[in-house]
Amino acid sequence: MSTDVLTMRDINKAFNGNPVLRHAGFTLRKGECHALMGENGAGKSTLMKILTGVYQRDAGTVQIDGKDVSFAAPRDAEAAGNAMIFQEFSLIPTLTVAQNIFLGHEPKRGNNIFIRDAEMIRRAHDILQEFGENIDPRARVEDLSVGAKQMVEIAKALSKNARIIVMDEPTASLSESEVETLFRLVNQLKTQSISIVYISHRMAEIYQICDRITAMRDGRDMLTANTSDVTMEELIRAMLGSDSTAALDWVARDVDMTAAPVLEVENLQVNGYVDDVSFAVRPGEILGLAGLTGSGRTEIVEAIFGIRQIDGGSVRIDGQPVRSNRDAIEAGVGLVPEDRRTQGLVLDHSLRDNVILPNLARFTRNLFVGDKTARAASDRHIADLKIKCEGPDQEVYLLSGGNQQKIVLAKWLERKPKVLILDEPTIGVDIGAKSELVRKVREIADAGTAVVVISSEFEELLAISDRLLIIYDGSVIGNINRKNVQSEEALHHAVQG
Amino acid sequence: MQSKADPMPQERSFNLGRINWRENIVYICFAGVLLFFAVTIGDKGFLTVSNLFNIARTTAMIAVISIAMTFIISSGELDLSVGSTAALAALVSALAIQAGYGFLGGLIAGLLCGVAVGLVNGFFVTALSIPSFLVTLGMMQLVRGIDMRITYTNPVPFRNATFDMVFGPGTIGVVPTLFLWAVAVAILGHVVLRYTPFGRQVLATGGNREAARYSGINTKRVKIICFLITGVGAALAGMLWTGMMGTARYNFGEGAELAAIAAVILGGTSLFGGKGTIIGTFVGALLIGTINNGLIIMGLDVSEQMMVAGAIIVLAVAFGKKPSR
Repeated sequence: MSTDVLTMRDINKAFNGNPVLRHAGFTLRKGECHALMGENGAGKSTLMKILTGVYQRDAGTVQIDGKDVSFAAPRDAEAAGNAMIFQEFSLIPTLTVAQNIFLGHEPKRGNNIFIRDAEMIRRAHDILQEFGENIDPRARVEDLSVGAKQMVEIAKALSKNARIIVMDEPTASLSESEVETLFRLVNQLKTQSISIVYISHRMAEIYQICDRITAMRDGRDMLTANTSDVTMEELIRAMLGSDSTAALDWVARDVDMTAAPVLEVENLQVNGYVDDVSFAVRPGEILGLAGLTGSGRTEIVEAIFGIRQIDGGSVRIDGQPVRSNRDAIEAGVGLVPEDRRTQGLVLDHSLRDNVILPNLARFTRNLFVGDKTARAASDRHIADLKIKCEGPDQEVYLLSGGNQQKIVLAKWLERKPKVLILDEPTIGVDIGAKSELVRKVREIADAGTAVVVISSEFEELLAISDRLLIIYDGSVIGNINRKNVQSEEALHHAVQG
Repeated sequence: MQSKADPMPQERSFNLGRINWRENIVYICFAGVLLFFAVTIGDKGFLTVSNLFNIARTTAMIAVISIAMTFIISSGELDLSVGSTAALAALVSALAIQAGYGFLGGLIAGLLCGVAVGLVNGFFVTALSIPSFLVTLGMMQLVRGIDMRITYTNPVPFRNATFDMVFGPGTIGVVPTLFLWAVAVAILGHVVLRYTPFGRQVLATGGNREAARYSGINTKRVKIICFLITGVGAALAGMLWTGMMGTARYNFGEGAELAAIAAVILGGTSLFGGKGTIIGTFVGALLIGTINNGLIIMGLDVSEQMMVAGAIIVLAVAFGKKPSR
């Protein structure tokens, strides 16, 4: 018989008079992994930030172990046993693993002044060992892999005796084997009666690891059910409302395979990453690059975009060689990069300033940037891509992940690209925006643009691609027509080499 | 929830109010300081036209350096070598005129000093990826050493009618020439930063260098040009100092780098790059000049002036701070 460790009831929260949570509720049982789903802006993060003391609720009750609680600051929530594993890790890269785990609550000597270093390292070691991780407590965090950093983050939570752990998109930047390790750990935490709130957009993961699911929409919890009792369609409907359609179905498209290729990659070599890769893409074709994280996918497209030095081979657009980033952009290549926050956008700047950034020359008349034409172009993209925002002058950090990604796309659509490359375009993008992006990419390809897509989500890759290249260890080991791929599992198998 | 059809006027006006307050702190401060001095020392000569023009004249050099500094700070870098560079340009241009190369020869020689220092700074920062703080800290010392060596700390007096007319302490109409230089540089800087593609590239580079690079912007080139701008701006300021003093000295511009950074940050430019305003900087420089002038008239000694001016800067920046997200 499981008991509720956490009950949140009728939570209201508004920012600047704008309600974000409206009578939202959430319950968490002892030792369960509970998925919290919903589009960006549905209120998941706000609800969890109230739980972890980052925000204060306007109304409603929060009970932990049946007792009413109220957290004025994150450290109060921490003391009550709540910890949040943020999407962006909160570790300090220059400190060691042990120093990070015990940051702020270091074991002290009797005089309460000096830190007991050996004790700290020993205890860090014990915690990491407990879940079977061979991470050296003396290693610097900056030298660890993303997966290992996450383990340290979880160890940090456990060192504070956390009983509720909130994981926000924990697998977003993990490799396949790291995901497995994480799931093993989640299961182990459950046996220790620790409860996990698992925020993710990835359906497959949720069905694999979570016991129950709560779906939110417009600041309300729409559905809470056992994972085994709810279908994916029901879930999507709960998150998107009744007018939604599941768009992640493959649509066969006609591509003229006799046309001359617009992009030709020949014997491409990037030492240490890419080994003798050749392929061609025709106008209107959507080519998917399938491979594991670290297989060289990103390096291939960065080489095409001219932003990564190549050590051999050639890249040609319409037969003309591309030797630099400038060549590539002028020849009509656009790249929606892997990390939109660090590579795609200037977050503090307006939508308009971001859209015109690769296109400054086009918006310049007589030495000056034409703000009016830039605003008009931005308005066009806002309407075309259905970007939810207040207007072209809104700063992009205020927008949700999906809307931000649409702006990165708009930057390159403005140039009417011949070759559009999308590297992990839907990371951190909710299901509604995801299906819109997929539809939009099809539309772009239909208009004659050659599209290259990288995605770790094979469901999406299979939905969108006409053809797939299997990348393994820097080489192309397969070139398959989409209609010959039977299932997602077959693709998972193929990319293992 | 936030759609184009539903612009949420209530929230927008709320935001606007908040943004105005913090982004315009420099204007509010400037108005407040002027008012304060007008009331307290208005009858001691603060409000006379000659004193106000005196403020404008003595502020011109810092204003020019600050405007140039706005570019480098907006691009996400820093230049501490401006003060030393100003003195170098002052000395070299004076020596060139003394040696008979005439006004134009002196002007070009002075500006080339700025170009040279800017190129060295730009090279070490971009090609070798050394933080600009360290590179320009070193250059500040190195160039000041050169300043002291070239004339063994002796001043370089010279007479040149054209130089006096262009950079001298005189007026055009009633307005001090030096101040007109500052205004001209401010207008040029404002137009370039706000309305040209280069200005956008500077702000994008400072806002997010990687994103700028992935948008096809040559961020190294942008930074080198920004260092050239601070170098040349400092050189111009050096010649303005020479013009005001009638002689070139090795110690021109001591502490100018810090005054300029204060003016830039007071004006509302982000110390971390990506947001910059030339008009704010210009008023920031005037604010600092006005405080210094007013405190002198109030009869404070140098130590007291420094304490008050420092406190005002800290408070103004604190009030103008962007609320954390």
